[in-house]
Amino acid sequence: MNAESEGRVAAERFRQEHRLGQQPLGDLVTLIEQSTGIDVAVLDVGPDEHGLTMRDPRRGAVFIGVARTRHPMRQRSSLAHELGHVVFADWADNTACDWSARSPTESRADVFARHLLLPLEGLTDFLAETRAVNLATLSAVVQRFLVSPQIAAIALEQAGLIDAATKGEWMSVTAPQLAARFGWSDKYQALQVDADRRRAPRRLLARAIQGYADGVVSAQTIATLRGITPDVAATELRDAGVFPARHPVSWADPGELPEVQVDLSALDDALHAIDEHRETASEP
Amino acid sequence: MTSINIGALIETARQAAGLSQRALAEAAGISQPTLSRIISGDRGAKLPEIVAISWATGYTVAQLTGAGTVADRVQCAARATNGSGMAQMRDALLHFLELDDYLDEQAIPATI
Repeated sequence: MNAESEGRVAAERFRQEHRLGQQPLGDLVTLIEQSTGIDVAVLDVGPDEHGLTMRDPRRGAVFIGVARTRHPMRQRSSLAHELGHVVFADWADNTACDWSARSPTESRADVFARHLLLPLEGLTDFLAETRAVNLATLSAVVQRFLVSPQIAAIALEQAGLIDAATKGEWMSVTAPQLAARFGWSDKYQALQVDADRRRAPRRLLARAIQGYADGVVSAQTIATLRGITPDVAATELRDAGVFPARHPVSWADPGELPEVQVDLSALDDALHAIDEHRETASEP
Repeated sequence: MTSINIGALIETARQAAGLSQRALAEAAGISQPTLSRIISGDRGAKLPEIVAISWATGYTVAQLTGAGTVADRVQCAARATNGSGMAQMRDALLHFLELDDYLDEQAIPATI
């Protein structure tokens, strides 16, 4: 099997296993967290750091990180791409990672992302009543499935709805252009704001809050995870009725301690012996 | 054996916590010159200081002393451009795994 068919089959299987039907996937972060148990974080990082997945092989814990960005469609494809790596178990040793290399596993994860976000069956269902496929159709697909125009154009060609030349032309269109032209700029801006916000890994955060309540971690631990100040974290938790546990130390009154008989005569004998030895040694 | 640069680990934790050196020194109850010398590697950090810095940064003691073993065994898959080393994202995810590991050790159950 080549990357295209492998990626497609895996994406279709993922949708089937998690009962996602052919519908657009809304909040992808929550969907991944709830359907796979993987923790997802949206992080404040450099412009070329799109997505990273890390796994602790000893405990099986997996975290996916994607960058905060003003490009919501790209963030969604990065997330789906990383999920593809998890599905295919594309694990490399931490030290051996070449982060920018275009390998067959990278292409396969891209294909997985494309088919996961925009299943061909869902696309043809959506366009069943459409007579003429034009730029407004591209805009409708992009808006409905929240994918880049590039992903939409490739899928439209694969579904036999446009030819290669049209696809080539539409590959250079951007989502903001379509939004501006077809009247959904407000929605696009809302998506931008949402994609440009930090999000802490939800399950880890919930567990750390439990740790805070048990007195095992500090308010700063919660604050560091969320990128807020410890005061804000502590106030928010206090308002929610979460307080750090106090572990009272039970002090005993010295008067309540039992009498202990210590026989010091052996010590006296020993010290006396040393003194005698010194006196003997100091004699000329 | 390679020596572990505790100062650099503390500096990473300080930045992740979004604290200035002054704020961290205050929160950890250490004088700022002392903290500055620990970070620059001019002075070793004592264990009570490391514990205080751990509490004040939200990083575990194992992370601050380089005793965390998660970093040695993690596996990854990434998407980057322009030869990015993914340093920031890598640090962030490692922190999550270390904290998760620590909560395991402390027998804190998953709530969701």
